[in-house]
Amino acid sequence: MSVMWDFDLEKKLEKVLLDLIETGPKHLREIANEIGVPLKTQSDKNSLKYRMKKLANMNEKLHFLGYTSEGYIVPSYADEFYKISKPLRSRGRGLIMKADKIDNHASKFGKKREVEQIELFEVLTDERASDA
Amino acid sequence: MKVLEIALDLIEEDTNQPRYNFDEESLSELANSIKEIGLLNPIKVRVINNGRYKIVFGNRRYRAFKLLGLKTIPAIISEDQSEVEIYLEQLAENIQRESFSPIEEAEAFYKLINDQRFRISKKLLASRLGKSERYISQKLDLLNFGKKVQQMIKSGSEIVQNRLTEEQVLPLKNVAVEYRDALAEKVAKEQVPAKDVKRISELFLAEDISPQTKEFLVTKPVSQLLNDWHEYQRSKSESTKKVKLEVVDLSNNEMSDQNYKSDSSDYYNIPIVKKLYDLFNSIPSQHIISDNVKDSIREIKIENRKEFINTIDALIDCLIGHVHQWESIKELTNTNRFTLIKRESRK
Repeated sequence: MSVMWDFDLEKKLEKVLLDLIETGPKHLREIANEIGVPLKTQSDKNSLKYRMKKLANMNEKLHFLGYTSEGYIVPSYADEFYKISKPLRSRGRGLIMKADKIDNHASKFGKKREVEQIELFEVLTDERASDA
Repeated sequence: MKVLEIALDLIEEDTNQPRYNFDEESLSELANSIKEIGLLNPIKVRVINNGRYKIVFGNRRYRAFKLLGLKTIPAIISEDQSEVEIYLEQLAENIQRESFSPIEEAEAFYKLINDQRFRISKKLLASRLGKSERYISQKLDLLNFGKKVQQMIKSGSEIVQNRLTEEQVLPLKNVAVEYRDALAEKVAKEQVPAKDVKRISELFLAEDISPQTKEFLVTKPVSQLLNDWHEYQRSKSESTKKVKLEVVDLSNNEMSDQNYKSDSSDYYNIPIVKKLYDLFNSIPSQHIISDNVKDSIREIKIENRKEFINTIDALIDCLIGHVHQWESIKELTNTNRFTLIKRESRK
């Protein structure tokens, strides 16, 4: 059965996350163990991550909570911030690359619409959307 | 009632009186006003031993006279000798004044109720001062706070940094002692309105929040505590959603899904019912074959006998098929189609 997240448990998690500043990085499993939450299924993991994200949005001190290879950290040194931002940036770059690849494929192999008016309509709506 | 001019040397201050905070600045203001327009109200004294007097009320006026270097002061001599009466008179005189702090008032009430010399009931005190018992209880509650917080409590309702009004501090009176003063200091520092203090106190009075969480909460700034209060209210309303078990007739649900009306006239339009009636109408009712008809078997020639038997077999197979089919439909209809479902409902 999945965990019943009550106020008490959420505050317990918030405390563990705030303590990351002192204790250093911790993996999801360690965090789960500390607050006494089982981490058996993917759903358990997702639920814990969701709560962490929610708390990070609510608490100013946790705004930059992020994941590094060493676990979740609340950065305080500049290099720690970069450690969190770097994978995010590469993920963004990857997405742009993939979008370019799709565009490239479309221009080479994308079929032409039989009815020209529809094609024209789609171009116009795209232009309008980009203008907005 | 006689007003006499009494020498200042013969008058002693009452150290036991309810008021003990004397602001030097306001004292010099009072002295200046006495110098300008004279004394408007005489002080009240009572006779003690050796022809000396003790002040009942008018301590500030007495000090102002001393400050001005005057020799005598107009005074009314009180005929009341009872300690309680004098103390109550002093209290009644000061209670209306703005500069009389709520803590001084609370301490005076406490003294009157608990001191061996007075020992009067809350009810009597309330009636003598023309206040409600609730008013007295509220003041006494202020004494639950630590000395540091007590010093911060001021009269009036204006919220000032590092000071506390009664309205701000009273919602915290029932909070556990380990958090009470820390919260009150936080409230004073962050100038929290009384409404928000009530919310914060709700968090610390909640029984379903563990002491560990409360210890963590007490370290947080007020703005976050208010966020937490909203969060707590939300989680509480979610937890009060009760799951109710309900028996539901599945067949009804299915019927409603398929837009079947519950009207009994539509019963004959249900496909399976239609099928049943079609079959039932096409099969003649069973009756015993008469001996004459049975004897006609003999008329069947030997070459047709096999075909006759085959046809009977086909008829029996067909009838058995129908029997099996309708028996299974009967069984299905008889099966209990009720189920338990969880339905959420608010308290």
